Amino acid sequence: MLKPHFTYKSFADNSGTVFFNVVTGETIAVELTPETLAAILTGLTEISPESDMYDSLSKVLTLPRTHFKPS
Amino acid sequence: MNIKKKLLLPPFCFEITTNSHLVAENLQKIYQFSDWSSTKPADYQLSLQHANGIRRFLKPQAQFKADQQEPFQPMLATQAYAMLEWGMNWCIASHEMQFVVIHSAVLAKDNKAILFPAPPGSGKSTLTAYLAFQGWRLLSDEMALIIPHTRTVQPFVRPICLKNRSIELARSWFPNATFSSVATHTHKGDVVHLSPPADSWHAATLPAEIVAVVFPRYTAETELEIYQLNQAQSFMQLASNAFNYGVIGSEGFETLTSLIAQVPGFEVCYNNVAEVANFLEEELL
Repeated sequence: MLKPHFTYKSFADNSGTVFFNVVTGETIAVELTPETLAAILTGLTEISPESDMYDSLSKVLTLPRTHFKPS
Repeated sequence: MNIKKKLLLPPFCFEITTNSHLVAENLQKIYQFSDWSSTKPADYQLSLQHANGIRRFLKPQAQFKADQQEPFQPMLATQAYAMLEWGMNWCIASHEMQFVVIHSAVLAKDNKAILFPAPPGSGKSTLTAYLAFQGWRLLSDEMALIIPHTRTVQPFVRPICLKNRSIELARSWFPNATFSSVATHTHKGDVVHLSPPADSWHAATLPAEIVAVVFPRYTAETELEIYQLNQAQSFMQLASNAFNYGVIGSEGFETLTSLIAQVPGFEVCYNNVAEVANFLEEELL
């Protein structure tokens, strides 16, 4: 699920998705298509909690429990 | 003696007060085609004055103020005209939120505009000068004013800021063009402002539609290399050159994502401006 204040746009050429925080102006780009993002959000695709991608996505999305970084 | 004049540079109007002869002379020369008798209220009241104090006898300085704010430290009096031009840029980049403002040159042919966003040192202004005197219409050397939710760019015609080696290059290319006096030893090196051809001034209220975004990069040892960027790359590069994109919120984000979805983006490495001009005319227009 998208975190508060974020909006996003996936590009038609499948080059990626950009997220924008309308309050802070922060912009985050990930090289993931909407389909891949949907698979991550539903838990069908897992990403390593140690990866940079995880850090980026966790800023903008509430990831499913399978992606929780172990404390 | 103070000179106070109102200068209409669509879409903005500046009231300029100065006691610097250098500034007054350069304004008259560079903006010879502009409207100096507008009845429009001034959007910005600018002042360029010689600084007071004992320093004026040793190393004369000039102070720039915009609506009583002093955004810059005083500079040498010989750099006063360059400071005024930079001050005008500062006014627009800092205050104008009705446009999405990008640090970019904009040139057009047949009202088809190409954006050239680039950081300092990329050769943007040299390329801009070349194109502006080769039949392209200059909309801006420094900032693209994009009307939100459109591909339309509003002209903001101003002189082209040339630095260091590009000054002599431009003088050799366009010996009959109008150049300002040289501001030496600024933080950017030696700086000159070049007035674009009359056609650009006369079309200063005519918007154009953006058809491409080109990120230029001058590299002396590289012949022409052109890379088509994907949309995510184009967007991130464009956003990184935006002045107010983070401030105006979703309007800026939606305008830039929509723009990038509609027009191609290229990175162009070059050492010959004529080759870039051929590419633009044959492939993008």
